[in-house]
Amino acid sequence: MSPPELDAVIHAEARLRVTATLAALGVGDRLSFPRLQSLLKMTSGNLSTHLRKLEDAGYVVVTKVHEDRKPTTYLELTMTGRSAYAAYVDALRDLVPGLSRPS
Amino acid sequence: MARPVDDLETPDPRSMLAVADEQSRHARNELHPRTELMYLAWGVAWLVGFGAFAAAERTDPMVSRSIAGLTLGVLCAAAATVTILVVRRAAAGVQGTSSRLGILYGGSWLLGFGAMAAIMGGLDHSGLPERALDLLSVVLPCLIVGLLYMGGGAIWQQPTQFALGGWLAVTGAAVAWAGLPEAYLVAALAGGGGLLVGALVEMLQEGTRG
Repeated sequence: MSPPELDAVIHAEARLRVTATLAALGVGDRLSFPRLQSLLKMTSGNLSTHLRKLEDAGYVVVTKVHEDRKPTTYLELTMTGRSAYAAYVDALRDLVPGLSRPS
Repeated sequence: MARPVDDLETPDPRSMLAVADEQSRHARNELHPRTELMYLAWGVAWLVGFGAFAAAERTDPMVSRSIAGLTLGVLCAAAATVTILVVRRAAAGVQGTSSRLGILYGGSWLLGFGAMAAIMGGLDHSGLPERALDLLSVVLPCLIVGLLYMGGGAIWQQPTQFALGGWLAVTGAAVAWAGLPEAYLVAALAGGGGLLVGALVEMLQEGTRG
């Protein structure tokens, strides 16, 4: 069996951490940019760059809202993004010797 | 050779798996309310608050009933504050399905205890003896908290919360059958003690999850 392909969009440490964080939310929930940033301890410029790549891939949906006249950005993993993350983690488990997928 | 940029690196699967596990555990811990702190605060409030009433009901009272009432009131206010802070910390910046659920669930607590106060007032008005009202003021919180914990445990799939709710509902029945003055001791030990055991179970589970 050939080794599984690793999703290039997620296969970078920063984007993996972003995706893992958003996947920890319940389905139908979104997270504000500042809270996401504090959970990741990334600079806002760096985080924005990686979010754009995830958005371009259709993994993350960005919503801009006005709360108390202050613009706030919310991030949510799409269903595609959620399953891509699950598939990526499964593929990693297959690649690491001695680790089998939890059933 | 130039240092490869982030995207061109081919990170090792084992270290990437560790990154994914570590970050998702960190995010889950931060995004989920610290329920063990809530059970701890309410456990202390019930144990000490109802314990104070038990002490006031002795043939040689150790405290007055008004001191007991004040103790229970202050400790419940403190526990409510802990609950609000814990939930707000976890829910900060989260929007969508779970925040709508949380608002409805929080509303059911307010309405539940508001209705309880109105029910007690109505029963007082219709002439129910004071001792019966005293007993109901212990029984009803056990039932309301018990049912809401069972509902919360079912919604958020928290077996400990569900079990704790069931235990508190049964405690309510035991309180009613014990009658006064023993009812206060049952509420303090079974109710407050049950909440403290719930806090301990959550802390131990937290420990094994790492």
